[in-house]
Amino acid sequence: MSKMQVTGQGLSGGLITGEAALVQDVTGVASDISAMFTVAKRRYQQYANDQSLSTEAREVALVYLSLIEDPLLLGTVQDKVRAGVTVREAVLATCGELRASFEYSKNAYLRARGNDLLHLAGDLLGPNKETARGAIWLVANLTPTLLFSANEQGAKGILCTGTLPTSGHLAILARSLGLVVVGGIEDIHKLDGLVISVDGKSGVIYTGPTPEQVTVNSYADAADLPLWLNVSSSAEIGSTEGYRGVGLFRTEFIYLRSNSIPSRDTECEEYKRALLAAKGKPVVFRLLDFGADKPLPGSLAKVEQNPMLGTRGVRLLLDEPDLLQRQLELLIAASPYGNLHIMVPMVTDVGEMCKVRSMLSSLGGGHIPLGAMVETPAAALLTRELCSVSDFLSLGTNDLSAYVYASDRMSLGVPARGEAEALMRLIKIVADEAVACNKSLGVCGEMAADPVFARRLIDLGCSYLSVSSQELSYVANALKPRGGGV
Amino acid sequence: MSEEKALVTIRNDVIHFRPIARLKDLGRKLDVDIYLSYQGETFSISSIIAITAWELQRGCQIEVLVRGTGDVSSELRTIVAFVEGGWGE
Repeated sequence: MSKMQVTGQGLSGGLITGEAALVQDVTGVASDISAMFTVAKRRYQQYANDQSLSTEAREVALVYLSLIEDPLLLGTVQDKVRAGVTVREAVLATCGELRASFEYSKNAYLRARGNDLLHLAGDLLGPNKETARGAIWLVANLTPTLLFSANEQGAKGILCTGTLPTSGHLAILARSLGLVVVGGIEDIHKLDGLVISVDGKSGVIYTGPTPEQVTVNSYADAADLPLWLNVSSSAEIGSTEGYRGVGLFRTEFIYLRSNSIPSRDTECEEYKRALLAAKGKPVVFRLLDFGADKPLPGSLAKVEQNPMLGTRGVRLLLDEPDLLQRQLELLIAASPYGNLHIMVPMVTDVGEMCKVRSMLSSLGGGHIPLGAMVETPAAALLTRELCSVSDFLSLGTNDLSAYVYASDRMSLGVPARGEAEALMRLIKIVADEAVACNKSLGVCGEMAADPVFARRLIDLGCSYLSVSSQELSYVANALKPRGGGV
Repeated sequence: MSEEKALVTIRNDVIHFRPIARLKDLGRKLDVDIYLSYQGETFSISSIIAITAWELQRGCQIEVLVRGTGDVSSELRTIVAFVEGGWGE
């Protein structure tokens, strides 16, 4: 078979193979404005109320529903049509103008939000058609409705022409629906009807199944790979297979979900459920990691000038000893139900670890393995000392990267390949010390799920990589020994 | 119809579409009209685009006005708690 390879912008990860099908007709024209708005509104309302969708997906539907209901949008379109413009032009011009008003925002997050208005215009104007289940959709303009209907109709993924912000609502929605999405593909119509394989992370598209694809599908023993799981709830553990342990359980999400301090029973039950779901595999509970982008809920919240550099992680817990003691008590109470480990976030010196350990011991939890997160340059440089007071270490590469490069993780993310030299050198210091001290060193963070970095991290001596359930098979493929296995 | 209002300080990094859509949804559930005022401008919570354009950030102070037929002061308290608690973020 003759092979072709195209590279676009990876927006939502995963490896899929299927038949590509053009679905969007870009020349749709609506004749009645209010009917057009009503149809779109009803559709979003339906998605926003659909309990079978995740909270995140329903919230994105709610955003588009609210935009449709904004009187400014309908009013401006109507004004333009009254002035003699066609409906199609009026919708495009209105959404374009409103979008432009966000382009000058000082805030990068808000600048990206302007794109929501363009997606909305596409939804108002663009009809779509039915396709076979398991197809990979080819669309000119990606819109929220296309994502929702691709999900409903059992599509595996979507390729689209334009590039999109990776932190934008469409990318968030695609990931939360589990759809593989690649943007920035020119001439999508050339792929119509072909069997293609898509790597949603790297953005690479092959015609025909790729060798990697064939092996990842037949890879029987993912449990042999040093892959652990990052989760925010016990439910995620129960629904995942092929991991060796849970390397990061984000306990603060129990609080963030209820937007208040949950009852002791609720919190302890969630810990027990997580341990039971892991069936004896280790579960590393990270102590409440509030501060920075996750302020303490309700009345405990503090206003800080610069929260990324403020009271967060273990600093905050030592400032709020009642909160720390309560959590340690509940973790100790849950510990008989499985293989419980505790990990301390944002450590910057040995004293912090000693304080947490002494509280843990005094509450009767001296037997529980206690680890330090290495996610500040200070902790990285003190790895040897931290090894002497910790049972294990875990690299938090997202924050470590932000603090090494003095660049917000939302704007930088994983450094581009080849540009991470400073970070990799620091990680090497940590890995060398951990290996010398014979301590386990896990990695949780975006880097662990990047195929290039995953391999390098293991080569440096990291014991395991902890990734989200969606990324597990992808990283398994990246770590699989090359050559002879195909 | 009665109304009550309160001054509230923003604790989020930035207020974008999603938090406003959530507040609008909360107003719908409580069956009240919500109006926000900032620096001399007032918009109904339905004006999600205009409110986002205020670029509300941590430390900004807004006035929340709630209008309804039920126990407006209780509903205002719920809404103020929602805003102070980070708009569901």
